[in-house]
Amino acid sequence: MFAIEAQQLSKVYRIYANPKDRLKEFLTRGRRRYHQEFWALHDASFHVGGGSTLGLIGDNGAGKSTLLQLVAGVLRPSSGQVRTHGRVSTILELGTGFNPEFTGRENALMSGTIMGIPPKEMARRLPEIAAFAEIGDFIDRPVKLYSSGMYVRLAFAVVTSVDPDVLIIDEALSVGDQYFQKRCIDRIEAFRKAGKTILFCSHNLYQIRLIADEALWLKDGRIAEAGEASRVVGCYESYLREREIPRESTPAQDRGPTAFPWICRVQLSRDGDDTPQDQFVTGQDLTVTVEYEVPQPPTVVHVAVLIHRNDDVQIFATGTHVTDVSPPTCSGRVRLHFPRLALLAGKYDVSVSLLDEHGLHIYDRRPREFKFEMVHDMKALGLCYLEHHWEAEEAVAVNGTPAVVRPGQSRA
Amino acid sequence: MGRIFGLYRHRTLIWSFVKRDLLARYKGSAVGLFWSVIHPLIMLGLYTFVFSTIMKVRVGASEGTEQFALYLLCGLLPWNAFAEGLNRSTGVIFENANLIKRNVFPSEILPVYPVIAGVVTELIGFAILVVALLLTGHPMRPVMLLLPVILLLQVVLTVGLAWIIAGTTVFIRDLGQMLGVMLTLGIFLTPIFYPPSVVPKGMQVLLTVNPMYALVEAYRSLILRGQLPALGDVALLASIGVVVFLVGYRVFTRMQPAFADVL
Repeated sequence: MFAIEAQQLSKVYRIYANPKDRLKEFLTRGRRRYHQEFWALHDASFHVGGGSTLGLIGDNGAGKSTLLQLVAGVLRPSSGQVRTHGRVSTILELGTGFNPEFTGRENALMSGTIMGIPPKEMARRLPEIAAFAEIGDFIDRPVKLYSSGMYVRLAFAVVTSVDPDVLIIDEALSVGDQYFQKRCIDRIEAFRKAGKTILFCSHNLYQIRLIADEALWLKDGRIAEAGEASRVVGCYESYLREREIPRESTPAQDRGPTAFPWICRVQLSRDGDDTPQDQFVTGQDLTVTVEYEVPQPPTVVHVAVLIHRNDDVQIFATGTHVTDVSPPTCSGRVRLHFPRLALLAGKYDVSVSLLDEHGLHIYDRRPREFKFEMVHDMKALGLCYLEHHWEAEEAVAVNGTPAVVRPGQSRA
Repeated sequence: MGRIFGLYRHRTLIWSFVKRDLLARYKGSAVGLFWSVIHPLIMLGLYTFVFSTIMKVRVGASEGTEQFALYLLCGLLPWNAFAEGLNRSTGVIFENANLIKRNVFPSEILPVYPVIAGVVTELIGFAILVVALLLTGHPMRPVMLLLPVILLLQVVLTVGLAWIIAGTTVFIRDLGQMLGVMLTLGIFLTPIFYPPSVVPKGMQVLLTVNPMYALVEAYRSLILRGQLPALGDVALLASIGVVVFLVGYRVFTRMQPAFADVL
């Protein structure tokens, strides 16, 4: 059974230039339109299985908060529908809705009442809430006197103490100090283990990878990518990197017969398989095949291959001239094999150049024209996989004295 | 319909809002809740001076008392509670936008709490009135035990109107200004500062359709004359009150889903 089900969920806001327009439109019963439409969320369908965690990522204004508010039931969808099963508990936009004049205690009781927990039951849970929030005496002071950290701590404590089936968290984890964040994550982990459903959004992609089973990438109100968390986060990261560098526009070159050698075909494929591919798996092989034409053989040519990540980080470059390989001096092809490609998930570009016998003059080049994507199913972050192993051992005690000396304690 | 009883479910929530509201009003002031006593006394003194001493408005046996101040108080207290409830309801959704936008909040309770808070002030006023009745040797009669019934009808009517006003103001903010004008008209068109007997014959018809007139007359009847109020008046008040309450609830809950979008 799904804990959250959304079908073609859309939210459109009507923007009125001034309040009179709203009235005018109402009076003419919409025969004339006085508003502009803003689609905060467009046709989003997804579901979250009971007990799984969905992370929401995307740029600011991509519709993440709108989506969370729709699922929480604070906003009504303009079209489509969303269904949740069980008790839903939410922290939207930095803290739940507290009344600033009420004390922490009163607000906790109020939140409980809203979620259908009798005040007596909530009062019983208060000591635990206060302990988790670590706000001490402030529990009896108006919430308006709280620091933002205290506010969020209390909100998080209240929202998670009501034993929800579905927990919705909007950016709450980005507030508070490291220590509190750690405790929030611990609690979320405990929730996950207890089989609760969690829907949360964060700009901390590392957190998403770590906590979420699945992820949803929203872009301009639409779902750009959805599925397994690390893959979706990978796509989003690629998109972020790509957006950061201005695209190098490839000059429109005349391809075709010239007096000099030229590259006529480049292909990325797996060993022993001649079908072109654009997706490869970390640890498996990749072959770059470069075909070229030499109009006036024999001409000595060299082939250079350069791999970039899509944010312009140069990863590896090599050429036949630096490895003492002699490509055919007439039209022909060379193959470059990477037997165990260590690159981790992301998008990469291949540039190919055709050089003269010294490797100095460039006959022809195809900068960043060939793209491929890496995927991996292991737990690893970064650019490439480095061979490694771990060792762990306990501290060795010497003469009965602990090897670790605590401050204020001197070694005899 | 059944959802109206949700109000009962949220009674603790409503009460905590009322309590907070009353405490916040006089918070930081030296004499605190005592202002709820001082303020009506001063207004009472002023109105009595203007209408009784200067303008020579006279009340007599048909009003059940010859003391203008007592007569005035019986009408002014319920009117003030009514006006305060409605006035406050114009802002109540905006003040609590934070709750509505971040919680699945039962916003239908929001217009209710200023009405209840107004009634609390009214009750304090009634306590003063009872003291004044005792001091002037006015007989206390058992019909006064029926006052809670009238008070309930007053709350039903006020809450119904408060829902309509609170919901509509979210979309048409001018309503707050319009309401101020309407309430000023209302306090003078309802016989509060003068006895109904001085209203010209041709205009008496205005009184018969005014539920607030029926309300203040019911109070005066029970407190001053020691009689049961005219059944027709109470029936009018009750039927208008219940209709307004139901319509108000319907109107408010129809607008409710859009609040989070507009705020």
